[in-house]
Amino acid sequence: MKTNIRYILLTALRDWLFVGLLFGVVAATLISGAMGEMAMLEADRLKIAYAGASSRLVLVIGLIVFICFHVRNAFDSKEIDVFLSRPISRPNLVLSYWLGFSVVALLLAVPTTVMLYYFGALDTNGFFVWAGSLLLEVLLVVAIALFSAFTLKSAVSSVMASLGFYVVSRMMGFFLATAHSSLLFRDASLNTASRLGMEFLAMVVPRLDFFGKSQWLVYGLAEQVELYRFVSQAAIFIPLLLVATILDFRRKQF
Amino acid sequence: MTTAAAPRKTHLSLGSAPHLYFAFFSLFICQLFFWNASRNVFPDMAIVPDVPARDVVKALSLGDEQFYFRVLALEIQNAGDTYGRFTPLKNYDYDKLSQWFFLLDTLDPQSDYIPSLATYYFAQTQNVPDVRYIVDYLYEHGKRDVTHKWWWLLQAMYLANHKLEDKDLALKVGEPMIDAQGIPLWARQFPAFIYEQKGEREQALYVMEHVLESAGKETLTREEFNFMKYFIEERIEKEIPGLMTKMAPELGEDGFALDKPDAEPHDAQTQETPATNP
Repeated sequence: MKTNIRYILLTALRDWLFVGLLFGVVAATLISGAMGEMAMLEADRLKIAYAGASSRLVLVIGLIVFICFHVRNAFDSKEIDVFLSRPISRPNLVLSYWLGFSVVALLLAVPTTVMLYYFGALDTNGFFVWAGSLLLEVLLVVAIALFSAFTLKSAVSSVMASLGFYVVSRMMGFFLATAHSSLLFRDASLNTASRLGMEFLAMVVPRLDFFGKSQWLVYGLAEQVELYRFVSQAAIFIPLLLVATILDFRRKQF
Repeated sequence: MTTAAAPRKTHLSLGSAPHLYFAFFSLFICQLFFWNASRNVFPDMAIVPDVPARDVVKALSLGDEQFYFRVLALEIQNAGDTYGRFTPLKNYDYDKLSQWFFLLDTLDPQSDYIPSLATYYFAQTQNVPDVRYIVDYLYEHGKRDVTHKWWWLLQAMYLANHKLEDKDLALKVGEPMIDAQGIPLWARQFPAFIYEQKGEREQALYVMEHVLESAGKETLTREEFNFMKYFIEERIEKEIPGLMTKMAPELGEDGFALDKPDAEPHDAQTQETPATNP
């Protein structure tokens, strides 16, 4: 397992992932700083909100692309076969992949949060909550990308599926609110059907809109329950995705 | 030692593939015609962008409404002054602009960004009747949380009174401040001055009396107390000359009226001058 984690770190270094993504985060932060200067007032709030959200997007997209292409490449070049020829079980292999990518994600997310803290954290408590949610969000994104890369046969389709899943997860709160409003259709039965359909979708899609709210960076945490929500969601959904990945991987024939 | 051969370009003469060259030049000429026909067709760059539906904004925020609020707020700040344009404020569609203000308030009702933009920038329009949209917005923004947003109600009063010269609107906007606690006394007194300007002295007196009665004595400074006392007495004196010299309250060392359990000064005034307290 340690060998696989070290191997993933080496490939991340080889592919210039750390340099590339951290450069992207620094560039996004600097651009946010420049945008903030354009604001008539509350420039510090605009800067930190822009920097936080853009850095999060850079990390998420970078990790998804890296993980999906890395795993598909491992399948295509028979690296997975080599791993499996050694005394390592399939669940352990999936876990080692997740751990390796998680280490990579944390090595990217931690410097990002430190940089943003010195860039201009306005509310210390809110910032630490936001930083914690960013760390959990990238771990969840690693699990999403790993799941799609192990289950789908093309790197491009894995990336598209992961990004789609991420966007839908971020919009899940909106979807539920709209379905519950019962204003979508004139027919009450259609409204009920859409609400039930959305409820069903919400069972299998995580609520990523609970994570990484720029509001915490600007005003701090409004309610303690917000913290519990994203921690619980991560604690449940990351293992769920890993188990699903293992189940699918166990069925694969080589 | 062998090396992989790099792909080489082969020479393609006009004679060897005339149909390809013909197709290329024909299409290029078509492109030139298309360019000529479309060179004066520009994208519709409205001064104030169309207002999206509230649900659409919520969906596009992807769960991070604060970030999207900042994106849209900056867009509204720069609206009309992009793509090398500088648009005078009189050309803005203020109806649409005020819809943007209300929409952005749904994303972040705490921020002072939009009311500041409305008050200090968009209210400077050369088309004065448009200021009414700003006043309406500031009123709605401010009355939800007067303790924290009283400043914007005050600005709305100023705009209504001095720009629109509509004192009734100024009074309507200032009304939530009269009873508000935790805001400066001078802000609560503002409606009294508007009544005074309207010539409604009794109403001005009533507002000032109400502010004085509802302000805790321990929060009043001597100067504030003296000013309000002077304001009230002067108006009573104008209504009933000579009354105040008879009813002048006894002052303590701190400059405040002494409390007398058997005879409250305000009660005495109210009973004897019913016309001054509607």
